[in-house]
Amino acid sequence: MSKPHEVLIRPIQPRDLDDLTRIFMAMYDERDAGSPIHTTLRHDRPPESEITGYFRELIHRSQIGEAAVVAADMDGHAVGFCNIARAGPPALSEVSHVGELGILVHRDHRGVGIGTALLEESLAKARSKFELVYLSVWSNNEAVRLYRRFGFSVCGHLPRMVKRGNDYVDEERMVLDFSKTPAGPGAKG
Amino acid sequence: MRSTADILVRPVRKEDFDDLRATYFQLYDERDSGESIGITLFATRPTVDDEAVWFDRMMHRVLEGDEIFLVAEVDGHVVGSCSIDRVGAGPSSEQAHVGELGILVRKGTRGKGVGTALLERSLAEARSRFELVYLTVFSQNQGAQRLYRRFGFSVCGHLPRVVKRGGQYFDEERMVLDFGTSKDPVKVHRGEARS
Repeated sequence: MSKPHEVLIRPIQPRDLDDLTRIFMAMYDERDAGSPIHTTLRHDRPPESEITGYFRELIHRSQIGEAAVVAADMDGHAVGFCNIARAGPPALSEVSHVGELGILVHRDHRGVGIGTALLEESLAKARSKFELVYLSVWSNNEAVRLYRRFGFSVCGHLPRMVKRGNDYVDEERMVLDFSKTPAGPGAKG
Repeated sequence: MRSTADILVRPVRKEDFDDLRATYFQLYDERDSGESIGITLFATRPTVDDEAVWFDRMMHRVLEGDEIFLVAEVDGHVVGSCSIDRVGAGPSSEQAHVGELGILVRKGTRGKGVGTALLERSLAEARSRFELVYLTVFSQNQGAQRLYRRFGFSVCGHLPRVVKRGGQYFDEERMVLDFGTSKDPVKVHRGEARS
């Protein structure tokens, strides 16, 4: 089992493209094998090129400063990432002070603190870019607790927002307001 | 006061572009003259070309069945629109059952039932296409929230400081209408409409 100190948290790079695509596609393997993964996907499996396109765009947005994206690097490979991207594509929108957070860790490397490390680093970076960070998380996901430790609070409960097969899942909307949370060493409690 | 009988609600057409663009641009005049409008805009007004790109994309989504877009016509001019847009990317998304509602009524035509007429028709169509409809509204826009409540929406979230206009922050309410728990056809009580 990997330990968090073997993991390097660093900015996302173009060479991460294949790893990130692989991490994302692995979510489909998990879901289709019946694992309760808490990420909203498509009913069918998207072509890999589509996912690669998404990450290419994300890397680009990171390079032009529209997003704070960090990767967890293990032996030279990305095994997870956290992305805080400007809400709404154009920088001149009335919501450009808001970042939207998304995070993903490969199934083989969960539960060892990588998510915490990713959040710590990306929120530290986001503080100079955004005034608030919002995120959506499945209501039944333990990550809600982790987000709370970083100062997020629930600001909305969205019923039946996701439909997987015949099951519905609610989502929590959470917010972190930097003006109300002092900069510091990250997770509390 | 105009009665709703003079308002024609119909699907969007290619020829509506100029009226829709004018209605949208007018919001920037309103905002820039300091009026409190409850819609999130760009810091600077988009170009006509920007709007043409938006319009083409919207027409395409309507054609694909991913978006409902109705307009309200008064005296031969489009004075408002209502869209209910599929949240998930395409029909195979795990959020394909959710629609996101947006509505716009031209200044000078508000308070005359245009919003009510648009909501009535759009939600009736949405019922056969989506299972839930979500929307976001400025917290200070109490009139619109009353209208949405009459159509069965309820508040499910309060988003602090999510819009920044100049140095001022605005909160938003997130509202939801679940067709699965509101089986009755939409009821409209005329005479108290605000839009």
